[in-house]
Amino acid sequence: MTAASANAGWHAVPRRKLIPARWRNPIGLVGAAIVSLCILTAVLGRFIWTNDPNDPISNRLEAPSWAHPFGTDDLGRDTLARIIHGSQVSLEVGLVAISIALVVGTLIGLLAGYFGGFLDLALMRIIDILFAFPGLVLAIVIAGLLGASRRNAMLAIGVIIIPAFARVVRAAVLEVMGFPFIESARALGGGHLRIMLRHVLPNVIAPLIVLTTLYFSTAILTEAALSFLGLGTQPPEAAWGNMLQTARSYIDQSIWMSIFPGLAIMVVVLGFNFLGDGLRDVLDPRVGGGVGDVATKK
Amino acid sequence: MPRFLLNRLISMFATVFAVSIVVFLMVRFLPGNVVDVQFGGDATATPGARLEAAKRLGLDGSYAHQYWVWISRIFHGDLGKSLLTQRSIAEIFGSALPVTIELIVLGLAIAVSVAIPLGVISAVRRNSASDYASRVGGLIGLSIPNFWLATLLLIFFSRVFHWVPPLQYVSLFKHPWENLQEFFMPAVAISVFTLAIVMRMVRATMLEVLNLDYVRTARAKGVPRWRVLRKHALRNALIPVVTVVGFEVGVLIGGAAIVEIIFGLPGVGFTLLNAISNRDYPVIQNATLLIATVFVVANTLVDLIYGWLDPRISVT
Amino acid sequence: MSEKSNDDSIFENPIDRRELLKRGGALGAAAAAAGALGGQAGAAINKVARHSAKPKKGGHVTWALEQDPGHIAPFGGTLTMTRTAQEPMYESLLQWDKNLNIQPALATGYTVIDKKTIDFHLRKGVKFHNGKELTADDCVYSFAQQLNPPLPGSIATVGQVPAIDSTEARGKYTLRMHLKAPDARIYGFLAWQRYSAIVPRDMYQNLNAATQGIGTGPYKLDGSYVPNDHLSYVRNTAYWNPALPYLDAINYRIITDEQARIAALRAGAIDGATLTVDSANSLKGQSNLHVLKGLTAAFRELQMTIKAGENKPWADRRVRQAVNMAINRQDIINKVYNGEGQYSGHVAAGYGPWVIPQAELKAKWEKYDLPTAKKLMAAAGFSKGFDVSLSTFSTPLDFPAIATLIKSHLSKIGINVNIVPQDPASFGANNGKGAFEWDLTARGMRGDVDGYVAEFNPTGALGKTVYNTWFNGYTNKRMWKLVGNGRITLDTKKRLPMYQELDRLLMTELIEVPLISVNKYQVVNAKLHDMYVAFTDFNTGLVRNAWMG
Repeated sequence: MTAASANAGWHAVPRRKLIPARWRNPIGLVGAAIVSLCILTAVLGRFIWTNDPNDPISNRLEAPSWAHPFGTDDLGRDTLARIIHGSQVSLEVGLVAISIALVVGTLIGLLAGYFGGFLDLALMRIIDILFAFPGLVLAIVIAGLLGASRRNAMLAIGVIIIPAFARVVRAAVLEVMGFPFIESARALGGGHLRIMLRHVLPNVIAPLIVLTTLYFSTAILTEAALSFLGLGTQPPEAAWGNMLQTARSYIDQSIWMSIFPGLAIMVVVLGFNFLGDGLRDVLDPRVGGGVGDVATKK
Repeated sequence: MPRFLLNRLISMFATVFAVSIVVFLMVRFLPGNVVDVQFGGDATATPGARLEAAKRLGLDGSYAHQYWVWISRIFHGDLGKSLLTQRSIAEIFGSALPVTIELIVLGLAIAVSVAIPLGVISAVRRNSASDYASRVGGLIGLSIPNFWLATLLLIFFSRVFHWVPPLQYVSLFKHPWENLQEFFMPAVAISVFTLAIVMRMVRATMLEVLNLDYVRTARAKGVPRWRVLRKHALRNALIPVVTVVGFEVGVLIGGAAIVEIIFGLPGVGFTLLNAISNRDYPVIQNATLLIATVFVVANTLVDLIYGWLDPRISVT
Repeated sequence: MSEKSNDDSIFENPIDRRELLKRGGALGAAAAAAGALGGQAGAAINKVARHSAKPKKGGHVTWALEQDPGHIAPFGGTLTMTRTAQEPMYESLLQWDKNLNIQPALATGYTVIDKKTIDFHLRKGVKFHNGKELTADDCVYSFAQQLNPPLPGSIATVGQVPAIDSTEARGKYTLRMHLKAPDARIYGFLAWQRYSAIVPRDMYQNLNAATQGIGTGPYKLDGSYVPNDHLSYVRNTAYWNPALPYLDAINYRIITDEQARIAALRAGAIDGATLTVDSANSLKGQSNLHVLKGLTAAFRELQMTIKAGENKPWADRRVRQAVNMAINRQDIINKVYNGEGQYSGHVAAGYGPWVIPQAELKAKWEKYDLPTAKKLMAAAGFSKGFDVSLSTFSTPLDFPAIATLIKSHLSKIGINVNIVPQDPASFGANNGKGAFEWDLTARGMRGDVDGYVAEFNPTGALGKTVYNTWFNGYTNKRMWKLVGNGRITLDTKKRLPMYQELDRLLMTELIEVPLISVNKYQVVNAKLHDMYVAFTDFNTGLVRNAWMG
């Protein structure tokens, strides 16, 4: 369908020669910097800023100060420590959800595209069911129906991203299948598995990298939304979404509680979007648009 | 073509049917049911009383039987009743749907009416400051969580302008002015993501179209610039935009769900989330089925329109 | 009403109280209980919005409800909000005044025939909102519905109904009630009114009780209840007490978002709403608003399962006592409730003479004492502590907040608490099944003190299941006996000491650890006089006491 046509450009040339100048993409570099900072915060943050994110160590609802640069929350917990903990949560959610989508989506796309026929039809029906819902609504339904917890939220987010990966991989595989080198490989007696791994998969890697980066931001945003609705990470554990939910009750007393977690989400998501855009320019400048557009959604 | 249409219809039907089974089973695997909700955490109930309560609500039969009751009633035009309030579900949707539809239409209108001019300007003045500003702005729009934006808007308007929207949902037809005030913030909050995407799409397609031969020719023939833009470039650039907008309806439905909850607008998303937390099976089932049906139909229509607008694309 | 009535006016045929006590004691129990309840609960009811000598009639009040009531059917409503929403129109045979004294309502009095039979004398000339006169026939119909609530009501509420076997009409104005067993809970059940509304005969056949209704109350429904939106009441001009109601109309609007309620209060779009403590305090400076606070029957509690064969650390009483001593209740009150709240025993703080006084709780039973707690842990062989999982509601947010503080407190005696937040439905299901180690949960209003302790007796009808689910590894015959006898002892003078002993026994044994009682905050238009926060968690202050000046 439309996916095939929109993504056609990605695979026309199997091995792209990368011009170094392309890597000097300012937006992509900014994105890479933000993403690195986020990863560093998640990994090292708690060793540098040693306050316990769950320990009510101070007065309630304090404004930012040297002792608590992001202020304290309704129980007197250090907001910076909670933001740092939230960065671990967000990255974990992104990694797990994307891994689910990457593995399952790639598998479905590969099998459907490579074998075609009935298998293709059946697998694409499953994808259609997933596509029968707007992403966030599907995430709400799945996370709500599995029971509210972060594990289930990650699963739900993974599931809603599967179709995007499956379709892009399938389209790419269909494209590659038309090339002569596949036929030669077959003629030389290569097994299905070997052909898929050696010849088909490498040609799908470039779009997969871009998709992974872009959908990382979708995963983080969706987890924040689910936690905000009480369907993701459960309080008292800190996650950016549920911090914002709590903050809503204290808008009059402490505006800071509403500011920092929201900023954190925005900056990190922006980082991944910048990086994704930059990578796209590098790996395939012909594809326009961005997250959620035709190329990636359908 | 008719054969193709028939195939699409069958495929749509099969998808919705599969959704109904999946949702039906999923709600029943949820921990706790409506009886637990009613008995609450006090656990004053004997197992007998729980069973009796379940029986009265029609939750005691086999899954196959319960599924059959649900589906066969739908074919008789009866969506059933809420387990918790015994309100008819048709009536619940009758009051919830207009809210969600209005929110989505307004969100879409705001997004499109801002995105198209911005995208065009950005493309025409490529690499200018305004182009850069809208591109970065677009990326920010893709990154800002709409529920946070909603909170920020509320803080901003109440602190700076001392203005808060009317708090009671009023129908557009009864009190249009109050209604629009009430929907302004939620509609802006959900429109931003779509706005960013549509703007990026307009910019990209405009850039492509502006480089096409016939546009260059028109310019060379001395047709005024704005006329070239409007008559030749924009019209063609809008074809892919239509598709994006079609798909964005789904994103907007998702955005509407969360914003409805924040602003207490009793729409479909609000109803669905409440039903999930109350384990109100029939409401969850019918709401998801409704959303799935609307979404699948919308997607199919977009595909068809796309194929019709641009005959080069074969819809197979 | 409450002001005018004295003991004589309650009864159409005044009977000597002593005489009655001899005959069965039920009335004595009720009257004495009522009087006694008044004393303590009265102290709990805090601030009344501006005093004024003479209430004025007239005025409209728009009030925001924080939750949708779901339906307004009179029987089997599981939400407190359902009763709050229908309170202006439905009444019962008896009522509580604001200090929880039992007062006559649709019955002017009652006669105890024997331990299992009571005659209620109906007030004559009471008109339903449809103009029909109230008769014993209507009551028979209504009690039948109370015992088996029709949809949308749930039979989940039947556990709160005392042992009524049946009722019969003896003439137009006398209702005879037959009990299955002597039951001290009956008067509180009727006065609570939550599950005991009186409606016209066959009401359910004539209208949709989920959105419409006909009662005898001071207000009648104006139009229908519109879910998630509003319900409106107008003055019942034919109300049997001519002094009431004060207001011309009450318009309940449903505004679930707290920020929206705050904004509406500021803008003067509504005249009152319930808010959380922090939000209420943030409005204290507003000259056009009054902040009211009052204790309600809601309290928070730490529940533990003690199951046969499990032999968890807390099966040892010393460990439970250590936990109780290591929890700093004042810290919870300070951090979660902005410094305002009370310590609670197993019976809600403020619930009349049935509770342990605050001073005694603070000084003795719930004193924060870390050194002793550590000693007790060591004596029990757990000086290194242990791991335990604590389930709680993920919303409302004060539950995870309290859990966080408890985790912090108990870490000081080596107990590592793993908090497991759950959505309310999952929590309810797991709690009912006993599928938890520790639970942080809540208790609310009860019609009678028995409602707070019934779960501690495995032989009672109510306690049987619950006890075996939660505590089947725990035996205490004295406790069982006190709970069992308390319910069927109709003489309050004999009953009171039983509960006083039981309260202290429970605080020693601590198979549940009560924590704190919380205030409820209502912010109202400064022109709304004599409003108060009802201990029952309904909105009785608005319906019966408040007036617009």
